[in-house]
Amino acid sequence: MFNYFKIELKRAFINRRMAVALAVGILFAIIQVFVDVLPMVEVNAGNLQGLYPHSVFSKCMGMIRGSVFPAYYFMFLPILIGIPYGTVMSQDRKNGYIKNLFTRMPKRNYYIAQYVVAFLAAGVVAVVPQIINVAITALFLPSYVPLTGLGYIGIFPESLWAGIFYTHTYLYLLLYLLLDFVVYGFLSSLSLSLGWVFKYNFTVLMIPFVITQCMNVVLAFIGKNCWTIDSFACPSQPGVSTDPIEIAIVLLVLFAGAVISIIWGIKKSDELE
Amino acid sequence: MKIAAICVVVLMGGVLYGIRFHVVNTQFHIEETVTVPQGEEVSVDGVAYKALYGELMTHSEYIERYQIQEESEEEDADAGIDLVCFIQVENKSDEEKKILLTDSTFRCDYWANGVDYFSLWAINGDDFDGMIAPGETKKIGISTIVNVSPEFFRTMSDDWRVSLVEWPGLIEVRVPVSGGVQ
Repeated sequence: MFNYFKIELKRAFINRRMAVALAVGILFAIIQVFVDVLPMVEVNAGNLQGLYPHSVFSKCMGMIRGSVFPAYYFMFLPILIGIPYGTVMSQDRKNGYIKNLFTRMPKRNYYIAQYVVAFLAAGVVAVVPQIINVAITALFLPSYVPLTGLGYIGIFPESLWAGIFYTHTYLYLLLYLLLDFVVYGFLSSLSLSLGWVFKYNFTVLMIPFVITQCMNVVLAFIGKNCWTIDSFACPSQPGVSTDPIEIAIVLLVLFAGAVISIIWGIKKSDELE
Repeated sequence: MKIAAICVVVLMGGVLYGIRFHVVNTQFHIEETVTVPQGEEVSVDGVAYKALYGELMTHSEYIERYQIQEESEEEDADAGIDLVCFIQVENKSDEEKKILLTDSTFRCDYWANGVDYFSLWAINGDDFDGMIAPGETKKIGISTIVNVSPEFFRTMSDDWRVSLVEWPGLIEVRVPVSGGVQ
């Protein structure tokens, strides 16, 4: 099982699709530095007139408010996470590779390895551009712990981990990177599962994006914007009152959907065989 | 050999990154926050400040007590919580000073909000101009809206502070606050 896991890891991480997904994400991260961060260097260097200087924690891609880059990054991230490994199981079934594998090892090993690797690949695609963006931004803007009451930082006392944000801000960003790793990992797993339902690879690739957009519409309609993935995965917390229990419930629902889909898919596949 | 070269390059990159990080973070001099305990006096630029007391009240009580003219009749008088705070200001310098405290910020735990500008005249009188002659002592009232949900308000501590000087040398005075809302 471990040997097969290593093979799948190599298949996920050492391939052109992973490079493309990471390149697109990193391009967002770098362009955002040029557009939003570098102008702030001049502002800081000029006469601030007693204003608190712009810092990494107000201008990095995850934290900035009013910029198109985080909006587009988090909007298209559900597509990017599926590029490296989201359609692999679907392709394996179509080209018969899966039958070949099942003659050599238990089915369970294959499915477990697929889901774990999909989870890891999606998490890496979600998190690496953000890390690079923060690292580059920290070369230009100071890392001063934010002051409460600054109008351009949208972390309120009711926000998730507000205490950590105003004391150990890098730890806050790290916690959000972990959260994003888990959230987008689960989303990719759901995509993998729903590959049993949909025929075409493009549809499978778009599943996470469609799910997040549907969630945005439905949850906005019932007044629960804070439950959308765009809202609680973004460190700037556009949903304001993000509760950890509510996040856990949303993740549980996604996970349950993934489990139900895969069980249904495997049973259907066994029946056909 | 190749691995050694890569390690050297990575190490050099790390050192250069560290140097640049240090330079960026030391370009501004930020002083430690000075928090003045309740009842104590602090002097800034020849003016001595002392927080006297503060009071929390509902918005309707605030409107009634200070006879505030609400701009909109539809505005909910019971919405929100107001904090009114009185600061004793003594001009110890040789020249007249203008003290409005409008740049002050109220803080409690991780909540913060600025002074409500227009309430300055509702509390201190329409003829309030903030001018303090040399040697004169005045009591100035400032207020803010505690813009949090009632549920969150109940979790807040009683560590109310008002800033007299913001960045780069933050000076805050602790305010004894009474009253409250259910």
